[in-house]
Amino acid sequence: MDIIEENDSPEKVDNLLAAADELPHGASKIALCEEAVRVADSLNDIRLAYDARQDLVEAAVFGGRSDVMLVAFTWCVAQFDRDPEAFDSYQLLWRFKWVASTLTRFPQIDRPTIENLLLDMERRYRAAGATMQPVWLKRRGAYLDMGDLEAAAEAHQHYMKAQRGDFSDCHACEVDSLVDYYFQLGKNAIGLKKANEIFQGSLACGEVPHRTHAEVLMPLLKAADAASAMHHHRVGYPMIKDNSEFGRSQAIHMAFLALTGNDARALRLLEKHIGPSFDGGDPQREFHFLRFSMLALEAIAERKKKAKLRLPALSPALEGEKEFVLVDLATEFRRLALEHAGRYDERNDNDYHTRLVEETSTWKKYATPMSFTKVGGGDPTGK
Amino acid sequence: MSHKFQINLRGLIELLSDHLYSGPEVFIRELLQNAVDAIRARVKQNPDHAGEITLELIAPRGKPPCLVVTDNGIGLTEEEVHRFLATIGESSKRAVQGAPPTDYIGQFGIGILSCFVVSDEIVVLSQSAREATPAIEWRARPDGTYTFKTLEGDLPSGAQVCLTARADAVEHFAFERLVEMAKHFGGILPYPIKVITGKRVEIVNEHGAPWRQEYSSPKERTRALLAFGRERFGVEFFDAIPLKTKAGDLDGVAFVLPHEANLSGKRTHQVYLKNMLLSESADNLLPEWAFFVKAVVNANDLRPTASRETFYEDNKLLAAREALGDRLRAYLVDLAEHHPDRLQKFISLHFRALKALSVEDDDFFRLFIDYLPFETTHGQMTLGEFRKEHGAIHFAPSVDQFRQVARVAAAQGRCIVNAGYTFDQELILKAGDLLDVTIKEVEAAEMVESFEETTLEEREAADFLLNTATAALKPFKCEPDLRNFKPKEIPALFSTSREGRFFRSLEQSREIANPLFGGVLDQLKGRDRKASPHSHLCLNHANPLILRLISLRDKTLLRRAVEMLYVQALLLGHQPLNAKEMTLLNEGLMALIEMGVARSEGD
Repeated sequence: MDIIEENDSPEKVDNLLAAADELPHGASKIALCEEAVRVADSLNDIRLAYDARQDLVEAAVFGGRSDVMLVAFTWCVAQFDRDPEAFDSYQLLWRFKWVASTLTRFPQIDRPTIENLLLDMERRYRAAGATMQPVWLKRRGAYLDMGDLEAAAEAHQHYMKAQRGDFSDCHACEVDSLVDYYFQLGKNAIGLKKANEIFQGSLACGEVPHRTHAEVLMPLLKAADAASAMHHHRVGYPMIKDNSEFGRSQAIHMAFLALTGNDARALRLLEKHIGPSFDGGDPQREFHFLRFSMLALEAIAERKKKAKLRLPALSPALEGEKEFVLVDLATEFRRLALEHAGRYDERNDNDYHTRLVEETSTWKKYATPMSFTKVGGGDPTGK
Repeated sequence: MSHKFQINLRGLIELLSDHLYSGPEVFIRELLQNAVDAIRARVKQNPDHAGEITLELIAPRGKPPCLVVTDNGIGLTEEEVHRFLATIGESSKRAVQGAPPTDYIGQFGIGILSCFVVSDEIVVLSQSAREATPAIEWRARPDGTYTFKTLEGDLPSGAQVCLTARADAVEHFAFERLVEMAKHFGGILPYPIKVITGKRVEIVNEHGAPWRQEYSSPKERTRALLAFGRERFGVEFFDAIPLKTKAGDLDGVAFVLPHEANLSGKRTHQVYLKNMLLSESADNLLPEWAFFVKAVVNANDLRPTASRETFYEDNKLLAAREALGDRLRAYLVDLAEHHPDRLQKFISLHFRALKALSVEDDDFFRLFIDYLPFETTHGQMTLGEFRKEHGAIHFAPSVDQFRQVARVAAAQGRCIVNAGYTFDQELILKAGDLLDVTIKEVEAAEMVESFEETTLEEREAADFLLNTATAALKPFKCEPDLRNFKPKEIPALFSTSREGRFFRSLEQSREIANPLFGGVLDQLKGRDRKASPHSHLCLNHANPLILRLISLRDKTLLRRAVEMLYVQALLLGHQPLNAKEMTLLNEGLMALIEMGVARSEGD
């Protein structure tokens, strides 16, 4: 606990990284890694600073701070390219995948830069003798993010043909990203089928099935299977509630609660999760949080006029703890969501995100009252 | 026309033993499981039936040893033999077509075939207790063929499985090994399991589950459970908490770890399913915050996952987990209310777990918060001690901010809590909500603002210095300020915010970035970050050097001096210098040396 008081030394870097290692993903872990980087830098020890940054990159990715990750990773790539023999190329190339799936989240990063980064990844993977499967996976993800479904489908074809290799994601993650792919293309039935492969086969890793439980909620409501959705809410929410990296999942759970008429609980989730989701680490998470908040509030506003809430100052209208008129609040969230969408659409040169906001709003029609009770009773997945 | 697959059974068995089964010893598990299922079926038919399982080892001199596993269960008819023993993927337990199987073997129907891992022949003799049918004999070989015949006389109802050790599996056919394996998998089964060889007989589950026995007092029970924990895990646990929940029909014991537990580590528990060992690495049984215990439990009504490592995440497991959480919570509350000494000891080991739980549970928070330790600028203290001494809680929300404010606060005698560790910030915010206490976040920049302001005259006198400093520091997104603060030996203090820290590290990476990543960072920076300066350099009006600089009118020299103060303040604050700042340091030193030399040459 008193590592902070120690004088700067290589041991201190080790101690900080060891302490960070013991923490779950989140702001504290990132802060300890940052502190380790600072100490290593002030000692002018490049190797130590590299190792500390490798840890920071990982902590930032899984703690939802893509901005911090990009800054630290840039430094690592530069050091690596200066002296490739001095550092572990496997670790660097593995982390490259994270960068590739991160850039699209920032609307200020343009499409040529994103495509160039994917080319750079391809070049480095070829040089390492790796298979192209991870590259196509990241291309598919990037095009999905940019709303270019045609390019995504083409990348998907390449991905399906490519061989798995040393840099391939784990099985759980790959199936999970297929789930995302099908859902985003609107192929919900096959998406749900793939998701069930994860649930039934107990495929698991650090982020799956955590996020998968959230992703199936809306498709299940659309398929008029609120009972199964409630099961996935109960199981999945505890898995993602403590890490703002899962802000999108948290927001989906919130919207699900609103669509099933669990208003008080939905509003509690809104208050709890909105602040940490807007830490600046990932604007895409902010976008999703906004559109699902809009959906939740539009649904609740049909039954309830006002609610006392404490919200962060995302805009002047939201700041502070006060009685909100829910219709107005929903309108404000819609405005903010559209503002975010506009930035993405400008970069992507399409109207995908704006349409997504409008479409999200229509999901109110899938509302199915079902009260959140304490657990017990039958297992809805067991039929 | 359609054809049937030709299955190479030996290949399949090898595949299974390599990938599905954790080791060859699982053949014992499968044999026990079959026996248990058969006995259970018979008890269902006749509730008074007393089940029994024996494992007899026959080791004739000069011949490979044999193992005969006998149960007095329901037995098999001819039709059942063909259906269950000889069809892979079928099982008596897959009752409803398409329903998720309730049992692992049910899932694959290969239970008994696992014996091919240790034996080249499986012989089953059986007499059904269900129907008046003849006794049967079934002999199977790993090439996938089997013979079947009905026997003349009657056998006792039940089944006998005979295996002959293959040359490479003889070590599993030793008495001690059999006792060990039978105990491992079936140690808490309610039917006696006897391992026999010659005249030696050992009942491996004579005492059953230690948590199910009667004890003369709770103390006696704790002692017995701790002894069980010691035997099982080789660990002298801090305490043993008996568990029992209706959900999942579960019972067992939770051992409190005698050492600090790692928050992010894997928490594995030993679990039995219907009294057969399922896994030693179940990780989803208890709530997240319960990382201070290791549990051994049996569940009669939970479903295992296909990998057999843990339980399936369904509503029953959720309910069981909730109930187990309540039980552990009750234990902690009891500790707090009745055993203050043990509580102290517990806190020193597991305060992180208490913090995790306090974040989730308001009542728990109220009960425990004052006992929990926090790091402060006056060393570690409990929040209770802190509140008694200092009243309002001032806290730094990250380790970086704490480091920045710690030195200054210490010099000023202020006590500040480091809320940079997991849970700490949430707990302090919660204290503000739930307790009658004021809380206030302290940022380095804000801390500086609490320093004594200089008077208007003092500021006017320092106008030239401040203007020069503003211009000198602008490229570093830093703004000067002038105040009175302790200790007066420090001429200038650097402080930065989260934004400032991010900007500094971004600049640092940008300096060495390749064009591609440099472009990424440039675009990243372009986002609407606040236009305000990222950091402050607070000059100390109480410092003699600063006072002298205020009266200095040589702009070049003054600029150099400010730049050097800036670099010095960075170093003092343990901030790594970027290339631009490093240049500043080098050029500044050279210039000052030159000036000094020029002056002495001019003398």
